[in-house]
Amino acid sequence: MDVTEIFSLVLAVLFPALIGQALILFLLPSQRLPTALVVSLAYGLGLGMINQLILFFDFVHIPLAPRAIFVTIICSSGILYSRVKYRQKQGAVPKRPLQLPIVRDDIPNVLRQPFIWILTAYIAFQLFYVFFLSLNLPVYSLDGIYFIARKAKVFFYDGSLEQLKFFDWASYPMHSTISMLWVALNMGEWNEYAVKIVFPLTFCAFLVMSYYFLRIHAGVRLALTGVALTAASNLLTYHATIEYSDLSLLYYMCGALILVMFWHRTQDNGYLILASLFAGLGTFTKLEGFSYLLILIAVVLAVALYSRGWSFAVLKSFMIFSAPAMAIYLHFFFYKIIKGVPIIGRLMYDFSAANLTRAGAIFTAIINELFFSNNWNLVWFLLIVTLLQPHRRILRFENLLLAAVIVCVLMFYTVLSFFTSNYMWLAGEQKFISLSRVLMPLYPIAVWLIVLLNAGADDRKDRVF
Amino acid sequence: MNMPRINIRILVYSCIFLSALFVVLNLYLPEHVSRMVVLKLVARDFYRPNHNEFPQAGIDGTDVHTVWYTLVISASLALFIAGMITKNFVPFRICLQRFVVVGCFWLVLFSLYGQTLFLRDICLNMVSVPRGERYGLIFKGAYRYALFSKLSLPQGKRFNGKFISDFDPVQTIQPYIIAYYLYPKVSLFLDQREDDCLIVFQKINARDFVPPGYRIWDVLDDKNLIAIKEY
Repeated sequence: MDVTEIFSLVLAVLFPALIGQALILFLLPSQRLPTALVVSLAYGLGLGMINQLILFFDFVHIPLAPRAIFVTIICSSGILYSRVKYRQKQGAVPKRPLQLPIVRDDIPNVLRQPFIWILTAYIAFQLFYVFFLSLNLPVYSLDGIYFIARKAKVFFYDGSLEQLKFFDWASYPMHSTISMLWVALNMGEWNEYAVKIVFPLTFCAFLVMSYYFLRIHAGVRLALTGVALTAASNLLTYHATIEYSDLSLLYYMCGALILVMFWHRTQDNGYLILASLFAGLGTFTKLEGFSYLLILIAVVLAVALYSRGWSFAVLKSFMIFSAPAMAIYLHFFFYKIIKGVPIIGRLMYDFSAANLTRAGAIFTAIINELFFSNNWNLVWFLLIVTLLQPHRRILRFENLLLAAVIVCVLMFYTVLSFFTSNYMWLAGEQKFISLSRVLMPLYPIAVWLIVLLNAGADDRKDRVF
Repeated sequence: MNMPRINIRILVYSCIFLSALFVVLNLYLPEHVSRMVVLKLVARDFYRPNHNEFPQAGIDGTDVHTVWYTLVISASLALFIAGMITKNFVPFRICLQRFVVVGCFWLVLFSLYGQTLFLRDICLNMVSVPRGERYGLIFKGAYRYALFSKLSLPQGKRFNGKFISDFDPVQTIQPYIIAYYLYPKVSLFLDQREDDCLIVFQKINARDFVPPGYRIWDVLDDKNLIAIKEY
């Protein structure tokens, strides 16, 4: 790549971060967050918003010219920034910004610990691995060639999304596709290597986000251990190098969960709106994103009920969370209707009692996947062992919430396997194709739960780490 | 240096775990087989990248995870019993937790070894090759055909292609590799416009499948050719 191409590539990454940061600043003017956390949230948020913008441009027949997108991004970011400045001048924003309460480490001079350096070196190696592989191998994965990258290439050369309806999997959400298209539009050419930059960056942003979430709840040492465990998943790191949408779904859904937890801690509705945007953008990554959105709505209701009891505030929280997410979901939904694209995939329901005989196969598949596959190290077993700790720690609200999300998602896929044609992909003959990937967003949640349970350990000997 | 307790703990438990592993290997393997070679092979087998899942690896036909769980549980039991005998009681769940962490640590090392081998393979076979030629190494025949078509077809003109092959497009990725690579020159499996180009790929007696009204434009071999519509 020459200098111009590198510059275009940097712009392709900086613009999402710019609009994302403006949005975060606008929604959370009174929150002082660590810069790295803001950037990691801003990157995904901005990229998702640009995707929605590109979809909207195509919807209203504006040609996909980078200049039009740049102008829109710069103008909207400028408006958001100036609005924040204006509110600050008016005194609407407190002079001393609020801050998330951060757990201080009980170990003095944490950076002198060799354990910390080993963990940091391991995480650095994983980051090097994903960036090196993704930037040195062209688009080559099965789904990438079949539809994800192929759609992006066609849209790039056509200058519109007009041919979407002719693709197999036309109804499939297009976050990864449009992200690759965005990079190509910036570069002015379809570069087989550069368009993949979005995947390792998503992985990197996710690790940073995880780190701060854990850092806030458990301190530096446990946070780094959690991030290292997250990066220890073979499947997760490999997905950061290929053109699949599973990692993006994981990023948005886990991001939304983190932001809901922040909202629970601070009661600042800005976090709730951000969480909603993340959950909405998650519905644009994969079809099952909508199911995750429903689970997240249940989480928000649980948090609201826990912190405010039965009151109008619960309904208000529900509305604040549901509205932006549903707006993003409906944006693509109506786009598909207007453009004559099939609305949903090939899902066939069958509620006959005979399907209950699938129970054995379904549970065996899930147990095999969680405990005997090479995807997740021994993390699921570690979680079970950690749950053997005294009950008072497990019964903490945040831990219960994470455990409930894991149970809900597992139940969702179990029900899906029982009563739909997806049985074949989840527990039937073709389970090797989908099961590992659909359970991927649960993996970081399991790691967080392990870390949070250990963070709550009163006695050092009770700690796993 | 003031070593934190956790590091010493991991070291001690790792030693116990490793000893247990070698006991298991001794039980399983004949004497003439090197234990280190077996471990290296398992580590290599442990990291086989696949976009859907990482397949299970095995030691002498037994899945690595089963071996690991056996080791973790038996080592924990041993520590628990030793604690009882020496009156230095450690609850079983604590023993189990510590050995699971050690088990995780060893699997991380396995993955790291596999990752470095994979990186080495990529460096040797891919990075040393110019970027434009890497597709050829990955997709071989399909890419060779796509490149041939791209170079043969007249410049500055776009075609709407029809795919003819003995491959079933639903069952294999080959047709989509060609479709991906040939775009925008040839549009395959997309819009409903009338076809003006035939992409005949891996079809026995390819020439026999060119219908009247089409002219054979270029031939790669007797199974692969391109034909375009005559006006």
